[in-house]
Amino acid sequence: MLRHIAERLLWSVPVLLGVSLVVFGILKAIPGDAAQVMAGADATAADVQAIRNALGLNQPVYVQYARWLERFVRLDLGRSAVTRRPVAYEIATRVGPTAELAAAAMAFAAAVGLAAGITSATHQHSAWDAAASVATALGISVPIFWLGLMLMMLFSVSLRWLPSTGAGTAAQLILPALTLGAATAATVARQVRAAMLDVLRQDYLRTALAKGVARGTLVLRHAFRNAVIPIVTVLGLQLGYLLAGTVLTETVFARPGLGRLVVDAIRSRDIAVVQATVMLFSMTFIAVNLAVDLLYAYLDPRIRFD
Amino acid sequence: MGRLRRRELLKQGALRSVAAALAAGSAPLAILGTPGRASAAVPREQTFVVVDGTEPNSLEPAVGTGPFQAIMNAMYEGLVAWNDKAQVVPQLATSWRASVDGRSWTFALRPGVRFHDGAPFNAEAVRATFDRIFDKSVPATRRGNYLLIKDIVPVDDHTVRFTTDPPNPDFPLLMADVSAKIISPAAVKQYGAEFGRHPVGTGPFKFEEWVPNDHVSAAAVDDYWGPKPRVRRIVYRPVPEPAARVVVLKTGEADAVLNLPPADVPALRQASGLYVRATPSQTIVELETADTKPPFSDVRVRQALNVAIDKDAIIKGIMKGFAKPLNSPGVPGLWGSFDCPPFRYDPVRAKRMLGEAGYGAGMRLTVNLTSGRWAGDTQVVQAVQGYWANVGVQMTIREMAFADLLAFSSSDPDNRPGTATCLLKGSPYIDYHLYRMYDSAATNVPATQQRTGYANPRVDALIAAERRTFDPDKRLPILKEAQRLVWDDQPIIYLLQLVNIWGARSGASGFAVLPTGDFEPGRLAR
Amino acid sequence: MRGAPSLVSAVPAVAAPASPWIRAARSFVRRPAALAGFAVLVLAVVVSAAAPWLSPHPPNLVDVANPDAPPSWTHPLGTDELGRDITSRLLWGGRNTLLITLGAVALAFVSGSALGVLAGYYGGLGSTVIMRAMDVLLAIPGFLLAVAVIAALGVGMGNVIVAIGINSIPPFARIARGSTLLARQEVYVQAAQALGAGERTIMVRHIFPNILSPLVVQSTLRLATAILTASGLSFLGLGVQPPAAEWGAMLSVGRNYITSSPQLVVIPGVAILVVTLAFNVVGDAVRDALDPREL
Repeated sequence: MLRHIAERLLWSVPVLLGVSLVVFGILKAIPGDAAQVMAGADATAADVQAIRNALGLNQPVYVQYARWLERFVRLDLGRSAVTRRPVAYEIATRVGPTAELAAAAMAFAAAVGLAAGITSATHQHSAWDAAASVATALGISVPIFWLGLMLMMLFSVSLRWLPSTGAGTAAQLILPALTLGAATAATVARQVRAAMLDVLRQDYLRTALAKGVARGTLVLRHAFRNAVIPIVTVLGLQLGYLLAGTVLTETVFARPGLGRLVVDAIRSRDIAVVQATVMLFSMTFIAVNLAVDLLYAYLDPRIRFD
Repeated sequence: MGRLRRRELLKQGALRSVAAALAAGSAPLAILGTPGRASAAVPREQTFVVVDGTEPNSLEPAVGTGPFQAIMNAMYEGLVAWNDKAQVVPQLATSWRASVDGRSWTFALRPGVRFHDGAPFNAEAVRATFDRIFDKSVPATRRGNYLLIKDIVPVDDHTVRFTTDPPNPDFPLLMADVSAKIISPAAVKQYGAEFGRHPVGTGPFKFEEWVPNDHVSAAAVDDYWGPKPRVRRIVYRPVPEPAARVVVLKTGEADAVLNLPPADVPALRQASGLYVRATPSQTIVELETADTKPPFSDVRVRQALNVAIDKDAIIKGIMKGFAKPLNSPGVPGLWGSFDCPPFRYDPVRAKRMLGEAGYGAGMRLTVNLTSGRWAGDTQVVQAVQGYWANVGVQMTIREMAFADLLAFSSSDPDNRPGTATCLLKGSPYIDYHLYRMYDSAATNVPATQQRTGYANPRVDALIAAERRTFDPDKRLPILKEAQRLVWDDQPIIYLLQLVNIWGARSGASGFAVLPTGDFEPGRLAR
Repeated sequence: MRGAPSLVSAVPAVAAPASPWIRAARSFVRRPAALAGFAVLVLAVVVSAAAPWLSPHPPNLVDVANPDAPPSWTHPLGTDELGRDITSRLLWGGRNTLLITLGAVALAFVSGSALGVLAGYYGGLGSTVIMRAMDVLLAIPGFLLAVAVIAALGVGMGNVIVAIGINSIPPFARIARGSTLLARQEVYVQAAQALGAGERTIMVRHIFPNILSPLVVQSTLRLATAILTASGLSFLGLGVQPPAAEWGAMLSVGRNYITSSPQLVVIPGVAILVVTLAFNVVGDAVRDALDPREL
């Protein structure tokens, strides 16, 4: 078991290195001159050159990469070209609203998705199942930002039930979390339904049912426990979707989070901020899926890694 | 009831811990501290919420420039300030006068004023403020405007004398700019490069917290030297989406909203519980052309392209009447700006002029644009594209990040013939505008905007003359002649002058947007 | 008509290659939702292809004097903020949107399959490098990767296709590799090898057609993701640039007018929703039809 954990942890190192290479490479390819951006509109050519030297932009690309990586590992993320504040500060001040949003969306998606999926599976071919399948099909097909705009028009402008923008209170979290979580809820519902149906068809459950085990107990205790692995897997994978979705959701609802930070940074060519934010998103995603992987052993007594 | 609350707490607790887990990857960052919401204690009724589109880049006056300057006025004051009639009035200075030769300006400072950190406001503080603007390590955006200051002498504790070269009749206007707001020397010493995150001034409101992308808040100062603020707290919130700004005005999340989109004004005027105003602005919209090489080096081409655009139709159809035609190379509304005879929309004439210039078979042009900086930007440029197509000019619109746009517009015009850049210009006074836009000493300087390469020696001579003339009656005719000459040359494509469109909740009073885009925070009331 | 499971039923798994496709088509046709989705897609493709002839007006014709006009005979859906005909822009927008979607998935299909087949066929270090590169791409949340690629390449239709294409390569590569590993063991591949066929011939002629069905399933499902990604990029102003008509871009401009002219947001939004829904429904049906593990 320990060996497996160690292996998985070790394995995430080259993946992270690869991600860092991709992130660095992509952003290196961005046209425009970081030094020029940093120097501002009134800078002279000498100013720009001085900044270029200070940033090490005159060195070969692989040296720049190595230096960037080394600083990154030491958590020295550099400074924003736009605000000139440390990138770590820019991220630290925005991580809260984004974590809140992703967690709330995930909680919503898991709750709704599980409930809908289990009900659909146990009532296969019922009217509920049909309605749920239409709803889930719509859920995975609706553009997230469009859904957000429509919810905002309905609940903020017409009904005035909920605030439209900002972050900090629970009321401000509801609409963005619904928007971001909708597609994930639909995906989870479909996966849960499929996984539950798979299990419910198994012979041992049919036998149990025939033996007179109560249906409710059966579904929750036996079927669900055996369907839990694909469900946890899809939740883990959906986190990537949710993290990336914060980019659109936070833009629509003017939430002060990392998603909006990264969009603003790309628009203003604030490369250090983009690099650090994309790395943080990817690291979170990798870490969660690593955790999911390790959860398998705990969730399924049949899986032993040694 | 109790159970409900406990469940709620549990839920919040769960959220927090997940949040903490997500943030764990960046644990060492936590020491930097996420600003808390310390100020929740002040009730909403005592808080005035102002919304505009732009997140501040810094709260240091010399560094932070943009529409959020409005919040700076709550925390900082200058020696002088603008009023709603675009006049300069006393603020931290009680009076000022120029020496006979016009080379030095003496300001009498208001006694008994203290910075929010307790440090006294005095002549030393004024000197320290400008020392910081001149400090090369501070990215002061308008440093160039202040380089004419050769010496600052604290004559006594409450008198300060500036010596300038060349002499400048507009010097007090320069002191009204946001860049020249006075900052606490003690706080500068304490925070250094981070001063922009810890602003300390003398204004009616004292900085509370800045949650990036969410809000900046400031609390009323009890012992403010001027009239007591009428609200306890002021909050500035950046909401970049114009439609979202309309929404926060409608829902009452904001007490006042700036930069409302013109298309929404008719509906907002029908809405209850709020009011909308359109007031003059000093901001103009133009396309800055590369005038050193064909086709824009030919005055007939520039005139023809101006004549080809139906600016009145654009103002009516796209801006819904919330803009003004621009018939001056100056800034209508500023002292010394003169309207000239308009170039009337005449596509037939435009086509003929292009033919005379040798472009009868048409031509290709590129206009660069950063969208989202003012309501209607892409639409107006696309309309221009349509009008130019009618006279045989194929125009391509190139969207780019603002940083790239600045780099482009400040690159050598020789290297980008046939290109133009859509820019906004907000100028506080006429000489500032004429000099940077049309004096050949300013129009082709590396790494500056408005690098059109336009040069007319007669215009240069007139600008040099008006800058030396302190007597307004003698200065006005020179200004007029300079603008007449420039207008005939049509060095750029003049589009329109914006109007400040803003709205406020019915109960809110004291909110008024000045032509500079600022407002006076001391008067706000809910 | 099948009896109880017998030993015989396990054997025909190596049936003639054409029959699973026909069987799939039959199962597809039996699903009304799938047929409806398919009809929507056919209609969308035909209408988009015929946009130049169907559009009542040029899509970019600006009429500043006539903005925000309500529906009329000359402008069936009214005009937008610049007086352009919304109907024409919707038709041309569909054309561009579908081009991006199909282009991106085609790009991912071709390059992903090629990488996957190569990795699966040769194995070794090359395979490891390819598949670990895919892991890396998958570790960056998808939409964010597209945004970053656009940041590097710049905006515009071709670059959007590339960005979304890159984003979609890993699943194709994984599926192609997995299927190739299995196919390599099959009799027909070993027979071809024995007959001295070249490696390229084996991969292109023998392996690829036999691993096609999971790749087709993936393609149809990927189309839905691609159209949503494309419209998301346009929404952020990182996609197709004005004045080009594209549904996401129309929506992006329209959101500035959502409080005054909501139809500018509703119309392209519904168009995206309907086509995405059709992609998903058809994708599901194709998967169920081609996937032996029927639910």
